[in-house]
Amino acid sequence: MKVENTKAQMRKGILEYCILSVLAKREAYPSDIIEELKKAKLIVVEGTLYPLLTRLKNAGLLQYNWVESTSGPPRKYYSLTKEGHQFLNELKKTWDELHEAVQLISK
Amino acid sequence: MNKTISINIAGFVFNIEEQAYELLSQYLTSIKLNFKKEPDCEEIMADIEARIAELFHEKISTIKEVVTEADVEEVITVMGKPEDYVSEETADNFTAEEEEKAEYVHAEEVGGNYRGTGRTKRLYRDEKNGSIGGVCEGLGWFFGLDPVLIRAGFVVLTILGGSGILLYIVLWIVIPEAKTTAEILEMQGQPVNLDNIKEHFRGMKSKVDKSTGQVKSKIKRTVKTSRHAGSKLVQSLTRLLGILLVVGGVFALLVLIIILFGDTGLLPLVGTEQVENLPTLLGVLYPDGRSTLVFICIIVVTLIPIFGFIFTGTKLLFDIQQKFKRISIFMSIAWGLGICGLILSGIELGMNFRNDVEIDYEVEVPADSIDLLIVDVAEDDIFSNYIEYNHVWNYTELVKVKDEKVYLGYPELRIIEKPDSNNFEIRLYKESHGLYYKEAIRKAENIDYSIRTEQAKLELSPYFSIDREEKLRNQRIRIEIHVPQGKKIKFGENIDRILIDIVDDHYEHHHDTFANTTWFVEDEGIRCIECKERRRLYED
Repeated sequence: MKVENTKAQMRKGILEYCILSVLAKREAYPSDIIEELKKAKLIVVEGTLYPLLTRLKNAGLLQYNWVESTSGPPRKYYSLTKEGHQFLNELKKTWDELHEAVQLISK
Repeated sequence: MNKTISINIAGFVFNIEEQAYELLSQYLTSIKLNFKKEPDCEEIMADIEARIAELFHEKISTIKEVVTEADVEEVITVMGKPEDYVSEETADNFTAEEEEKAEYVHAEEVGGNYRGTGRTKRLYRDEKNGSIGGVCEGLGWFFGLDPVLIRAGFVVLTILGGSGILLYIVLWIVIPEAKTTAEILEMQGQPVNLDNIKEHFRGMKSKVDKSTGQVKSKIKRTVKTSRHAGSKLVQSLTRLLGILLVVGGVFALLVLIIILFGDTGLLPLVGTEQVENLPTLLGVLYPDGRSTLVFICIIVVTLIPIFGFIFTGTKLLFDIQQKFKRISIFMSIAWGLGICGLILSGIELGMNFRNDVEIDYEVEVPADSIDLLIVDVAEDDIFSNYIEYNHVWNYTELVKVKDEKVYLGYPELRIIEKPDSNNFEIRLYKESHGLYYKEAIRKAENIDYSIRTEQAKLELSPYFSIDREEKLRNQRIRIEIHVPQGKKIKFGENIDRILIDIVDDHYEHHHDTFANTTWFVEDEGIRCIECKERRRLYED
């Protein structure tokens, strides 16, 4: 049992929740999301974000707009769909419960 | 000074250094491998490429127009190594296999030298290292065997019915070639990650440098120790196979050389004394100018596999790793052409037997109203020296090429009952095949056969002859003697030198020997008088 594994697992579990949370606040493109996640030390490399976003989009939780960019190709700006918001609320409830539970137990 | 390549990512053009380009394309290939199973692989890759284009865009300015290797490395740091994709990507189904991979990533991070074995190997052709199409090399990687053993397997299959070549061609078409570094690593069962790719790329580069810089030492002994090591048994078996191939090959070579250039004693159905050597035989069979070609084809088709055996055996025996790709391909092509040549000339030869013509001559009998006709065969100065007629098994034994003539034995004599006449009637039939009808007629006419008649005696020649240029076209001679009722035929001492066929309405008469027998034609057919105990056999 490697501690790195467990850490990675914990991070992965909440990654989707965090991405949805970031996008709930504002429309963003992957680089912005990365910045937010990096601040929170949740993710280190950008490449892994793309498959996740695509998967969430295909699940109907996200949508995107093409926005022209001055530096390079047009960007995909992602935002939450209606289902996305519902999904996020569900996750938030679960997370709060988990948070409380962990707090309670590890006290 | 560096060479730059112009590339297009997400619709943007960048000038990129050659080495940076290699690194980038390997990177993209290896991350793509991770998404292979995803249904949205293309979309994910497009997103990633768009981001890479954006990052490059930031690096480029009017004073720095070219993307360098350092830029690419920086982009890879931002985007993440291929291993990171594996660990993050498979969050949904964390199985034992994934755990192993995660472990591997971890080991890599702490700088360990862990070699992942959980990676699935894939079957590719290793054309770079292979002799022909790299099929055997690829199978060797896949099954962890020495490719030489697999090659030997194909050779054995080829000998046992030729299926080996067919199987090889099918596999050659079906199995993809390992072209990219990622595919090569997959073929070798190594995990596809950036370090391995880099290592492989450097390895290739140093190889190229070496081969251009200095004369590359071509004979590498036991380089692939990782694959060869382990089994002494396999090694000794390999050696044994090598010895067998070399010894067998040398023996076959000697036999073949004797057949091809020496006498024909070892050829089936042809005796040494009749036809001096193979070219002579071909010369009287094939059309003019074609026999040399056929001879060359035969040499090529027979010698190449034998050389192949000796060659492979030597390689096995001394564990020579050098590839002789060009020679192998050249030899294979030559062999194929040889086979084609033989098939085509065989068809051409067959065409020369298309038309069959028989010409009928009447032979005058000097004494018309004789009662007894004596038939004998003349002395044989061609075949009798070395052939005992009782032991002739096949027509081909009675073929003799001498000077400009070809002598053929066994003319056929038929004795037929002739009801409504008082006189003997003797007919000579000359038969030949030919490409065209007219040619067949000419060839039949040109058969040389002598019949001597004097009083009541008929002396037949034991052989007939054709000119060498006429070629062997299944020429035949048949003599028919029609015997009226109440008359007799007496065979002489040497009559068994030709084929005798006595047929009447009721019987076919067979005897061990017809020498010195007399035959009488009566109401009920042809009957042997003076046949002693050897009477006719088949009665109904």
